[in-house]
Amino acid sequence: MKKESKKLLIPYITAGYPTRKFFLPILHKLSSLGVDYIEVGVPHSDPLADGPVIQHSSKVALEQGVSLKWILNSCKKLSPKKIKPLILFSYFNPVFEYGLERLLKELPKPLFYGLIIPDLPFDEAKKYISIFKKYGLNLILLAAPTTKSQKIKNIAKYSNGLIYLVSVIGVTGERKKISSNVKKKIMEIKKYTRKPVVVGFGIGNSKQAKHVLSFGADGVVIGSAIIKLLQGKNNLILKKLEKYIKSFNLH
Amino acid sequence: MPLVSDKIFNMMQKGYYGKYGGKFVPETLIPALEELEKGFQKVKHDKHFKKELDYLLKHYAGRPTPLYYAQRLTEHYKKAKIFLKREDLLHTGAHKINNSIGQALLAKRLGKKRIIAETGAGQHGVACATACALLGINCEIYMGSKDIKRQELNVFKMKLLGAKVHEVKNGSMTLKDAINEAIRDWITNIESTHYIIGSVVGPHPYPEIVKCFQSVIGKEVKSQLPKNKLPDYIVACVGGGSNAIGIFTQFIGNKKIKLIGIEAAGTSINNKNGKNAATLLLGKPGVLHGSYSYVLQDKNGQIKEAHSISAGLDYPGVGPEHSFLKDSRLATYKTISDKDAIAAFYLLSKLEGIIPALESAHAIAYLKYLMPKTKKDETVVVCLSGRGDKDINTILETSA
Repeated sequence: MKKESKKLLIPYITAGYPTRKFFLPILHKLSSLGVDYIEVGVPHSDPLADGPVIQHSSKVALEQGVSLKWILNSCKKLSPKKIKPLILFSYFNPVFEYGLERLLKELPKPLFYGLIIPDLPFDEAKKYISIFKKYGLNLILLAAPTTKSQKIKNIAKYSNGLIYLVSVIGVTGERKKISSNVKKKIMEIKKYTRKPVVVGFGIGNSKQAKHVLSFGADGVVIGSAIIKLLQGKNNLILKKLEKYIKSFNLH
Repeated sequence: MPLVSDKIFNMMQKGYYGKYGGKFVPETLIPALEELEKGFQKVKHDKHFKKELDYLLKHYAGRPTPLYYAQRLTEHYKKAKIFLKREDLLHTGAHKINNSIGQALLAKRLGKKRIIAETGAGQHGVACATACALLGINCEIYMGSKDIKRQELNVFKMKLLGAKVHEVKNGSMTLKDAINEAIRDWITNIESTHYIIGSVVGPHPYPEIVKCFQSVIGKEVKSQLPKNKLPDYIVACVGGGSNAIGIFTQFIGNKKIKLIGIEAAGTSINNKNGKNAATLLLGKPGVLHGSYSYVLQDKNGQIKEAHSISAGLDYPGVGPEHSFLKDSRLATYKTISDKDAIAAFYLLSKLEGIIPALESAHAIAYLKYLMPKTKKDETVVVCLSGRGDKDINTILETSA
């Protein structure tokens, strides 16, 4: 493929799943495999945008005492030269309780590229956009299949770094089919911006990824399918992860 | 003359009560909330809708409910006169039906073919199943395993009324996780489905909608006291807080009337190991179920599990308007323990021949602390939000 059409592969992991000691090895492994960004999920007691797989990983991580603070501490020593840019994925309440500004200040840069807050829709997010700018982090907004045109325009304009298009009307988790509506939405977003549009929720294998990319998406986010691979506590999971990521072969 | 409350609320940003409220939900839900808001604003001023709702409330649900002078309870305390707003006499046994009928009618206007709801004590679930049976709409209810166990009778009723009951085994297995599952269902089936939230919680416009349909309680109280007197005290229990908002709304901002919300102190609010649902007393502002309000949470922003002997109060959040009323001191909030609530359950049964819901028993229990401070020429109105048949098993277990 030509250089300018390089497609982005963005795996999602829940920090501290399946166990805390796997957190950094997984980040190293994914980085060495040449993914483009890594979404680091902060576990939450009430993950209402997530399906059963990520809900379960969240619960397991919380039982092991994983918190935003633990994630920050664990990432302190990571070198941005060895680790691909991280995107913190967190529900709003853990961020709010930690202090949004404090968090933005303390997140190591450029190791962290930005944040995704799934329960902070554009209307609630807009007042925070300037503070993200101040600390040099991207607030990546989500657009949904149901999002109206005017809102799409705003999301395209104000989302920083990337635009995250949710591919399904529903919660996270693999689906059998990708809706053709995704293509329409990608084209709609691209009318307003040249920022990369990545598609997530419901994509589980390379075939589906390629399908979405053929619609004009600039990248894909893979979540639940990866969490499923990570079940188990031995080092085999890193091998399984390697095989799975390689199967995408997007570049 | 405009109410003070109107002035206060007109100053507020849409969708917020002071700094509380908002729409903290995934973008997918935003268009549905906007559609709901539009539909709600439309029916609010629609004569036909109002007529249909009034008709059903009167002839089907049993409104207006009496404001009953509880003479023996008054004599028991020998202080102010105590009146009970008898929401327990409504069809299905609680105030929940006011909102369920209203929202089911609204859903019908919006062309929704399917209704989902969460339930804690099962009263809202039964009320929704009832409204859906009445209007011929498919109904599915989410209910935590723990609540299914302690509110068996209501589960049976919902099924009898044709609703499908989904057991929620996640997390707390109570109301909080039932709401999570209902929201997930709604995210997935947004085009066909209306979600009837049962309390003044959730993202805007839900707190506003539920308040609108429940405010009939306070409107009636206003004209029911002898000589059109206004009450000096109004007491109501608060879980999410819909019966309290319903009875408070007409009187907010009137400084002569003390509005008192009662939260569940569970086993204790002082003891470190105490388990409770005293969200306004012990919680901190945060986001749960789509709105910014007080929440019981740990230092990492994870939501804590609540506890109350009453399933309807067993919730770690609270409606955003209550958070505003608390901070602005337009209402005060107190707590009542499981133990006091049970004592009040017996007291009202014996003195007045009224078996209260355990939720409402919390409001009755507060009289023990309030009455000594009152004067003989004053009036106290207690919102008796529901009847206690559903709680007989819980009471039997505690006395065993």
